[in-house]
Amino acid sequence: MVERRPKTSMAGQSKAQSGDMTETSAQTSDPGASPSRRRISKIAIRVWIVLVGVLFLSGAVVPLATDSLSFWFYMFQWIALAVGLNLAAGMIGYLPFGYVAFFGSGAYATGILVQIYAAPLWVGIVGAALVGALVSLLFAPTLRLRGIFFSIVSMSLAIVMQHLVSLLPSEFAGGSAGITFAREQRPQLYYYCMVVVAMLAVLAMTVLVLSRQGLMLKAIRDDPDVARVIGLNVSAWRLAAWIGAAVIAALCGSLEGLYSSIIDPHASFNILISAKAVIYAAIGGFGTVMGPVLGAVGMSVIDEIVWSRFPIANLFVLGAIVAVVTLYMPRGVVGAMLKKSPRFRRWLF
Amino acid sequence: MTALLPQVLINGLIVGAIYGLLGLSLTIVYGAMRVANLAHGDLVVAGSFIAFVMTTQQGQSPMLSMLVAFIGVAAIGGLIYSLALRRLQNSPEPEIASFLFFYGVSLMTGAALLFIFGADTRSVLFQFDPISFRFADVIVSHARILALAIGIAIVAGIFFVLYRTIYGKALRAAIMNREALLVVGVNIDRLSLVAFAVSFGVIGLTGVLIGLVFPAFHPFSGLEFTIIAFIVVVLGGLGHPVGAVVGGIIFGLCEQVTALYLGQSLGMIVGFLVLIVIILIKPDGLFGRASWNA
Repeated sequence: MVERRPKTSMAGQSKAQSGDMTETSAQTSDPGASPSRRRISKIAIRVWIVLVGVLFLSGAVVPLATDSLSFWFYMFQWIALAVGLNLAAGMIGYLPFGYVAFFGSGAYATGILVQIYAAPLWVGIVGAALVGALVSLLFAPTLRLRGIFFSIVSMSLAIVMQHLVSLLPSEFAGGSAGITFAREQRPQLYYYCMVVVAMLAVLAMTVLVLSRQGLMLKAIRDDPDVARVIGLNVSAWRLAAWIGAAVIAALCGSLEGLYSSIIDPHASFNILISAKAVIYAAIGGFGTVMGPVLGAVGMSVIDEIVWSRFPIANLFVLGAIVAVVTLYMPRGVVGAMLKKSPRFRRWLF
Repeated sequence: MTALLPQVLINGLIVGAIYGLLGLSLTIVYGAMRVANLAHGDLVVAGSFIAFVMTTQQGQSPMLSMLVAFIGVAAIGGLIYSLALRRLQNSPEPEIASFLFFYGVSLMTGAALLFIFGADTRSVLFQFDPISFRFADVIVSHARILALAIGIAIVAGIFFVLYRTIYGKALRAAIMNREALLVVGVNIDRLSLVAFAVSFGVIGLTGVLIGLVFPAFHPFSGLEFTIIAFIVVVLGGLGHPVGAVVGGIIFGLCEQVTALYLGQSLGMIVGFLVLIVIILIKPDGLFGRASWNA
């Protein structure tokens, strides 16, 4: 704090100085501002909406330009997963290392509905979202655990799910060989669905963070006891965010299964999927809207470059990036910038 | 099936003792430094690979490979400590930051092992003489007896240091309250460095024992051991050394007994379910969370 003082005074603005305090105390000193809008500039919000629009529009025209959709599909998948994970980790403070449990449940729900029971496609996708919500309700009791206990139990639950799915009768869920989608092979359609899911996730997150409800979630994350005292329904809000995060992951799993046209317990419940979602969101910055999106886009590009040139080194490089970023930017890129200068508070959120 | 029960119980005890050892080093690192070592299992596997190189490739004795594994992994620990620990502890959320940092270390270790040894499963080949012992109806392999004996010796050694020497006292004090320890003038940095390096050395040793007891390992079997170690530690209560050993034995017994009656893949599930039930009933583990001030 001390060595940052001169910078703040150089900025010479009272707003910049109050930004140095925590958000809540800054608000009390600035009663004129409505709590929901704080000091985020309206231009910044518009720029962000335009950037997001450009990103998703370019996603929409990609199929016209190229046949290799894979990179783009997975980039949008990682955006959605990172944003969904951020809803749990950044907004309510639970880091689910077993996030893949919802991804896998979604994939299997769609697989069973569409391939085994020959249901229409939309039933398969909606079913995946419902199953994701259901599984998240089943796991809801673990929300009473905190911090690392929660992460470990979440990870164990994902592994339990993986084993249970491979133990299901093979005429129902394909056993350990998995399910191959032979009925519906329309990769372009699934690609567009993925773009839409990612876009909805990003927009929902933006609206949430800028709204009163986002502020409530942050209050609950930062100090649940005080939040309870001021009359917030802590467990209901937590549960809502938790279900939202699960539904996003389930939709991603469902679409990824359809897109790659094969699912199996090992791939659909691979812990690396949780880990990558966590890593991408963390590199961008938990608790911010922009962070996870930037993290997912940036890391997808890095992943693609490293993977195509040095396949063996890929995991090593991913590991090294994670280690270095957590050491030198523990709040992620966006979080680090916010901390570095309060002026960014108007522009980054 | 029932005739096999004594055999399975013995195996459960041996596996459980090794799981306890697995958890012990994790819990000491977590307790004293408040970092969650997610690379635990990968370093264990690194220890197993050291044993593989020493015994299968070089024809040395398991004892010598334990020494090498101890020194090698302890050196890695010392390196990580001097490079990263202070930053991790000063980060806004040390637990989560260390979780992520060590996940990075875990990926790097796995990738390095993959690069050096390839993706094949390996095993430690060492001919013991005699190959197994027979007590009444129970047959136990020489390697397992040796692993159990060494495991017990290490656990005893760690407990002796922790509960009977001034260094152990300081370390337990560090687990309880770091700030108070600073006030009374303990060089907590040096203490932590030594504890960290020795715990990592024990991880390497455990890797050799696991190489002896478990049939095979490959560069990415680390995550499984990490999860088992965390389960064991959480079962007994984070940062609680006795809890880790008891948790290890409970988990080992549960796993082996269910594997006997319900098959191998349910063995692990039941272990997890035991964890989840215990955590939901007693959120701080069987022995309670070791207390410290944040």
